[in-house]
Amino acid sequence: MTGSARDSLNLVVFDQAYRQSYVFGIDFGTSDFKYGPMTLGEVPEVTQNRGYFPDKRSIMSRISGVTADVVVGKETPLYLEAKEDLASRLIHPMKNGVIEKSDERAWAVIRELTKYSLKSFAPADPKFKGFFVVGSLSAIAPRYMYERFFDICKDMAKEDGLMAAVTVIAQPLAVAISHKVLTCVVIESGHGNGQIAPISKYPIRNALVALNRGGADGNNIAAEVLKDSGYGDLVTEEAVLRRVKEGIGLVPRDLDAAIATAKSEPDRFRAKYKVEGTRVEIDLAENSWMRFLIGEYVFDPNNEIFQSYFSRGMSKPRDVRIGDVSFRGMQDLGEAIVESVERTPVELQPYLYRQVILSGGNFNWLVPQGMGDVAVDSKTKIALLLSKHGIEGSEVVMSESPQFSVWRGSIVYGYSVPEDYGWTWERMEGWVKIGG
Amino acid sequence: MAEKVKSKLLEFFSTRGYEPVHNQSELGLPPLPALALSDGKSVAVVLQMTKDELINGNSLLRTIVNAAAHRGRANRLYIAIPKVYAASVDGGVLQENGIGLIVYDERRVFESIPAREVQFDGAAESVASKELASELAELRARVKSLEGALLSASREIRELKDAVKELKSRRPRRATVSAEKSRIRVAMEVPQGEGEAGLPSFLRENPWVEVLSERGEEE
Repeated sequence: MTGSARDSLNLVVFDQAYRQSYVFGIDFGTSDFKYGPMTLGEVPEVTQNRGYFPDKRSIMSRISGVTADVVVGKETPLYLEAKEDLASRLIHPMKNGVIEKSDERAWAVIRELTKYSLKSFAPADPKFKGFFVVGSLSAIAPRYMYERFFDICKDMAKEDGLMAAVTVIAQPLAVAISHKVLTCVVIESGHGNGQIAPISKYPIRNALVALNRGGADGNNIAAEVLKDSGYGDLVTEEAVLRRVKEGIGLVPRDLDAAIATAKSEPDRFRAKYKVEGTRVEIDLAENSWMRFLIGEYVFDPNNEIFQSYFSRGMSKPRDVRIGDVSFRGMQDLGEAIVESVERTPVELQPYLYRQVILSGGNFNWLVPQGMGDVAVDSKTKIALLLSKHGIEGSEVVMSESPQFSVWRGSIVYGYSVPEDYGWTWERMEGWVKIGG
Repeated sequence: MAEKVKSKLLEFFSTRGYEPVHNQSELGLPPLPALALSDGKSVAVVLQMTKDELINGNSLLRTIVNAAAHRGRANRLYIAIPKVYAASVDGGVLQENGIGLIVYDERRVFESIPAREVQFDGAAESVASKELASELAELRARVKSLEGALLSASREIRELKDAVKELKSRRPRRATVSAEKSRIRVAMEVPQGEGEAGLPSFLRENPWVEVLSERGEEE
């Protein structure tokens, strides 16, 4: 055996051991920010993907000695001030999975969250030479987002030396990796949008379909339901809307049949929800059938009943174009999957349909006891929508912990991709070395 | 030992002048699942660690103990493992015990750590046996001590978790934040904290590990 072969092998042995301790995953989800090193095991730390820009002129800020331009992390609620200011001062940078190039406030939040996450785990070990950071971005993130993220990391590395190398992984690929499936379709549905991404060892980028519909649209319809039921005062707070949506929303097997059943049996489907830690209690009473609208809207907003909400002013999910990507607003999820798969070679299509993985917090829909005849979970709803478009026999699986699957995939990616594989824009993979 | 792996190892050793020993009992080797080779002057024994053994935290020590059973008759001892699992092996332990490490993948076989050669004659064998007995005793003691440390660490983690829970229930906001910080530190100090396997469940048996570890090689 030659000396050089030995050397390179030793490099593999010892660098892998280092990375086992210091691979660091960062998932910029639309709603939550998940982060932490591989040593955390199964579950990352979670905080909201948002930053608060305090009014430094306010008396409260002066009294409490706030000096930071932007506050992020778990203590953010402690700094929140007047309710009226929240919309302008509380920034959710990844609301649509894409940050505008010139949105400096959003980029400042990304920078602070990245810094906050790494500092939370900065080790005292003298052998520490920086984390191998794997950031995950939406599959539709344009190139400038990658560049900006790398620039942020390079700047940070100069300041505190917490990073050895950084890479970026597309979120659907991370989901497939965490599920240990090499060929599949991943549907990632987050707060602002959804992505349907076929994967076959690599993401098939030209088959990507993006939807301009996500959890936020579920919140919108939940707000309309609350307004119609006399709780209009609650609809300004997005966090409350989200909790109400998750607490009372249901996905119908068939919307018209579910509404008819719920109207004929109001007691069985009565929707009551108490906001934990507050005196707020919601009772939809005779409007409880509306709980089915919330789930249906996320999967398929084309039922005629939604037209009345659009005509009353509820914003309709629009078709938009961001960079090179078109986002469909009103396409049902079944049709979106079929469109995506049909952009791949015919020979590959049966293998892709074979396994469909649902990921993202927007698929967490429960079926309460005694309602299984009309309410379904996300897997069943997707299988029903696929069947509507002529695809039978797909195995639709739900991530065991959809919230964490992107972070887990990022960790596997960081652990496995060779350290000496430099970043390539053609393949959008590899490491950008910035420290160590 | 899988035939494919065995044939790769035979090919590797044949380049060094070794031929397989077909009747291991003639050399006085114990009937363990191992590959015995000879170049006419000395004997090398290769033990392959299976995937299951590799994901078991104490497996390396057990294999070393098994390897020691060959000491009296083999001049060189090796352990063979797939390249993708190389990270889970502590090379220092092997070097201390003079055991070599062979690493292989689909394409290549490497000697990652050379084995220390042991020469035999009557007196030396007797000394070697004594040394081995002493090493065995030491290894047993280390395994026992590691088990004790693991138990103690588990107990401390449980106690810390209870303390965090209690703090959370006592103080609503600020206590929650500080308790979470405590948990973060614990996580960093226990790098092998996921039970027996040492790796999180999403990494174990994951076909992507091999696929991704080949990224960049095709260029």
